[in-house]
Amino acid sequence: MYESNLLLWLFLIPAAAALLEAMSGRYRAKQAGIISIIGAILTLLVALSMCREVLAGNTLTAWNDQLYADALSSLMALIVTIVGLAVLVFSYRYMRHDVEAGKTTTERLPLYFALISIFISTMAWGTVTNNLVMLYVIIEATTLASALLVTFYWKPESLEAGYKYLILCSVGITLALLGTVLLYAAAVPFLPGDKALLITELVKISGHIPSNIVFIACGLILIGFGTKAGIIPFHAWLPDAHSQSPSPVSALLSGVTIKVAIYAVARILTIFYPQYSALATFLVLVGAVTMLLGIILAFIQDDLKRMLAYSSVSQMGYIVMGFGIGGYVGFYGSVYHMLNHALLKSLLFLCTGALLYTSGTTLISELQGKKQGTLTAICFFVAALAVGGLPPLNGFWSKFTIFVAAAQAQNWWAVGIAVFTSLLTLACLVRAGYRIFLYQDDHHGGEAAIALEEPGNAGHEGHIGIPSLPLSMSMVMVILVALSVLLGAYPSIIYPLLDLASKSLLHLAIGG
Amino acid sequence: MFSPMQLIIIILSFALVLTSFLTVESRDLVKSSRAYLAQALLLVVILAVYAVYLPNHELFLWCVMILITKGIMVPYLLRYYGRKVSRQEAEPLISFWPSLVIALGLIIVFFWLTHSNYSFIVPSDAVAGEPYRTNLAVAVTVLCLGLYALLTRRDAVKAVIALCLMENGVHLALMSLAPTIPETAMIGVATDVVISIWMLLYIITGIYSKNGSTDAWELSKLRG
Repeated sequence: MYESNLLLWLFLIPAAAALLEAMSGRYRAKQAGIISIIGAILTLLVALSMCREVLAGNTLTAWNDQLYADALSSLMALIVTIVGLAVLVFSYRYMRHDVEAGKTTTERLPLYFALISIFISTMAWGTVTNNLVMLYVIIEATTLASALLVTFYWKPESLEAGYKYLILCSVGITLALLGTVLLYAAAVPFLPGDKALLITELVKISGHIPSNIVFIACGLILIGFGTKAGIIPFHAWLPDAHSQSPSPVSALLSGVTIKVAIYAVARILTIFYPQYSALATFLVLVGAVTMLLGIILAFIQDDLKRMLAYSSVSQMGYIVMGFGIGGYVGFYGSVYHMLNHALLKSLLFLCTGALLYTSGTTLISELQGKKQGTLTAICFFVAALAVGGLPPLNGFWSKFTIFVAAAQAQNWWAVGIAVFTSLLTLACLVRAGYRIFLYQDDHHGGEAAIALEEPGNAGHEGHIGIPSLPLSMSMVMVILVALSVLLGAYPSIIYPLLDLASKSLLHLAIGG
Repeated sequence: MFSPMQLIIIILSFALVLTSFLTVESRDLVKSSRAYLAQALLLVVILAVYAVYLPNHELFLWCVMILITKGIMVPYLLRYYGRKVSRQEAEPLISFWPSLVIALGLIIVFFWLTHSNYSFIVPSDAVAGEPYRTNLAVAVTVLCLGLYALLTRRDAVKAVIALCLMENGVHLALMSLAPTIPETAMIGVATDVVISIWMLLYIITGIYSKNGSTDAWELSKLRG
């Protein structure tokens, strides 16, 4: 364990980028986004350096242990920065297209990019904080940073979504604060000074905290951070916020934000696993309900973004279940699924962005029969099949690990629900993909609905061709799909980091 | 039975319950905001008494913090944005008299439940006796009143005030259970509160300018 400034750079760089973006925006609104993208590239390099350090067997600390990074934190930081960079690059042309379409103005672009950078900064900070109350502060800060992104288009629907998002998450997080305060107050007699707030110190005295307090505090923390993570029944904000945000923001919300919230839950709750197995059982139950209801609700949606949002709720169920089952295999499955789902769901939301770009809608009934780009179709199907758990894609391996963990724990009902939900997910997303990309009807003359993109046809819709996606947007989608396929074909490349991340949760659980 | 300081804290705590009740039940948003302001000032006074009673002079810093955020900034935001929307609260789910009875019932039940089961939820022996016991019972009561208002009021501005009440409840618990909490955490908590209230009110005025109403139940353009 040694002091490292990397932890500071991880969130100070995007924060500085946001500041510069906002300050320079007044003079060079047309170039908005470049500073944020440079900031995100540097932040990704910092996250990669952190991963290199933890793979070498180190844990990093800063600010008198207020910041702490083990393999799990580094993995989370990697997820935040990869998806963050992808979203920023995708946004560069996407938002300019929105300006052309009259949805927003050039003058507002610097605000958009500054808010995204701040959003990335808060999430990155969340992954490395070791302070119980600061974790609350930062999770709330992620909500505050993203609220104006949800309402960015300033339409009645997006304002409603933003209001719901802010009020529900703020109420939830207020309860989480009560939970963290109870834990802190219970830890004070055993830990001097500021140490009672440090998660790494709390682990050492977890056995001394009265059981009543543990249950009440963990319940409040689960409700609080669980609201942000989209756990049923606290998920009401999620489909609205995801469907009304600009698509790249939806990708960030679904790909990363909800993961950071569940990471916070896992960090705190696993401390008490050795003494209180009931906590773990409860998490398995919550996970099962969330995954099943989430996918059932996804089935009845016509708006693709709402469908994907409910699918995210369902996938969070897998992650919660894995954390609930616990042990090395359970933790491994959850952590792995966090990584896979972050890549896949952000890719799927970026696909909806591509569909909006080319067809101007995300309603499946309206997209049905229209020509769509081949690249978008390929990306969508690969991601849909992977989220559905089709082997040998990456989503299969992480889900399969969770199935194995549940089977090893002889939680057969959990295995049953998880497998059943996986089949439903596959059916739901593939059906949506079929209707959008492959369905042919008479009105469109029976043409093959998948059309090759014709660069010369940019700006024209209908039978002649479809607007081609800008290179930057296509590249982002290709890179994300390539990463997903790579992780599926060669899971061993990420194994060392996942192995250490699972062990760090396990060590936390046994007080090591 | 109680020392004078304890008695003062207990009396002030009960006054907090009264201001919560007025905040929830007043249908005029300006009066509701004033009741909230009174509550914020009471919180500051309670904290000052704690600072002398414990004695823990670091708590005076908290006093200043609470005064600036809850006593000045949040009421200012409520007043500033309140002028841009309708002063009268949108018709609540429960009419005046039944709501009054329910609120009183909630106060009695939650205060009694927390006060009589204090040993169950007390986190450590250091805060086992009075005035912490009454204080935490009041904090839980204020929190529940806020939650009740949030669930039964259709007006979006009232929902924000209800959120403020919930936060006051939790912050009262924070200062009575964890008076030694470091300043950085405290500043973070206070900053979050102010920014979240500001953003909510900013978005609500946007909703009002589009819909001509702050009735959150009338929005519901998003379904499923």
